[in-house]
Amino acid sequence: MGEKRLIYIILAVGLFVIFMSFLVTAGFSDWLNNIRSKITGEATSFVDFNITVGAGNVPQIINLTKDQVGSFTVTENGMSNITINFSVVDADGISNLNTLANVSLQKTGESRRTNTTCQQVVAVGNNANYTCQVDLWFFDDDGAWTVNATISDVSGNKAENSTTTFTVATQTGFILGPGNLSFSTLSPGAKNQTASTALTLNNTGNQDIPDGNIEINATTLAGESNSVLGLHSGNFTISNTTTAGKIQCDGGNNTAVVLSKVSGKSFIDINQTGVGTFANVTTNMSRGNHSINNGIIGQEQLYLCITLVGPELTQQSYSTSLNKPWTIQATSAA
Amino acid sequence: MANKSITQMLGIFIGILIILSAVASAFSISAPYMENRKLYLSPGESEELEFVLQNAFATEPTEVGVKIEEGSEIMQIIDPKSTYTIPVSGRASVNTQVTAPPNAKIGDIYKIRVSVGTVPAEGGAFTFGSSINHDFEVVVGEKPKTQITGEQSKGEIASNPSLYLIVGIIIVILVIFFALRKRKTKKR
Repeated sequence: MGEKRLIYIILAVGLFVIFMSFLVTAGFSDWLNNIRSKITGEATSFVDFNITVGAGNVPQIINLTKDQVGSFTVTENGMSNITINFSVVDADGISNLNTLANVSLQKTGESRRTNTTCQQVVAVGNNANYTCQVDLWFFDDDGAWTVNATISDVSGNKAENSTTTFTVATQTGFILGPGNLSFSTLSPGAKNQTASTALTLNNTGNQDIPDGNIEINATTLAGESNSVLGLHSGNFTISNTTTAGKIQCDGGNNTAVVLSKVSGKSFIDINQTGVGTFANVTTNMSRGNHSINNGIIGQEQLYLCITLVGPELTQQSYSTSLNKPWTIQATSAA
Repeated sequence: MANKSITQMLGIFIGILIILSAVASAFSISAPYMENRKLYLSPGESEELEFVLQNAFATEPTEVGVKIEEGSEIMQIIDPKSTYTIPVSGRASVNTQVTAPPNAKIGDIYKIRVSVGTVPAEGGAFTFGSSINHDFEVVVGEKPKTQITGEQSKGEIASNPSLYLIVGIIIVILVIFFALRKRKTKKR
């Protein structure tokens, strides 16, 4: 009889320890979810509730929702907001809650986008609804972002909920400028004349454009009155570097890409290895805030040079109207 | 001397005429997010994908052309057009459909390139246009199982020490239980 009792005691203690282990690690519901996911094939998600305990009851954040359905497409070159709503329950009454809450959008490796002034919009009994808009930048990475909401009460109790996620769409874009680019003076027979300003490419999306993925397609600028004459594309070079020594015009040492390699029908990488110790041509546009305007973050600058203005050219307009416009092409890939 | 000044005049004139105008050379294309730029489809399965065009800098509607540069054997634009007008401060949708061939083998990969370019403006000047390629792959087969969350993976759960502790306790209890039971049986 004594042994039987001992077995029961051991079993009871063992079960109690197991039960407590599940509770302490919050693993029981996870375990059930895991089994459920195996049965239904649905993905499950783990929920982190961080509760800081002060005096009184701890508030709870529930019904955390977003207004976005499907992928969220950021506004090109700007900010776009996503609206987050949630409810808070506080057994001590709504008057015990702070009227402002925080919501942040998070993704590993990305800057947090936060609104610390989420407003209470409705309060009834022990429940209050909060809403707020959080801005995302155009360069914020694509993929899954987590919505994190927190609120504190006047006693210092803090509740947190991160149960909602949303997906940012993949966006590729750039703007080419300036609107007008000119050469100071082009005399027939002149050599190595660089455009007065650089062609600037600003990344307006959330994708990196890596080395080798910026290309150009150039055509001959034909005379508008006498189309036999023209500024041949082969007499232009382009480079991401400029120096007083006109490195941007030096196709011989590969410090500039000679556009003669371009047939007018195909694209060529603005990317090549310089000869010997001469600089390489490497063009890319990382995603980022190009308004910093440092030529690096979210930006690439290209220097166009006419290596030779044909001595045979006469007084007339030269344009791309006969052939196709020049095109700068960017490719985003995994 | 006279010849030199004529040449200079010509030079100045040509210089004035060569003006690059980079008009309508800004836009973007948004695509549905795909992990590692891979879309998984079973043989014969179709999926519609919506691409979104924007032009943040336009002061007038922008015309762009869209084409499936690579992979057109499995992906088509289902809109009855290939030129789209992006309204000022607005967006334009490009609707496409991807279908994995019914006879495709698991593991087959199809490269897709969606290309968007400005429609060249007619007329003079030295015009610059721009184009954007969006690349991804269609993989025939099942999508790899989704991780549970970005912060905690299944592997981490499996290596959770508390799980081992629980299993250990259960084993100890069972050993004690059977040992006592055996002892009791022997006494009888």
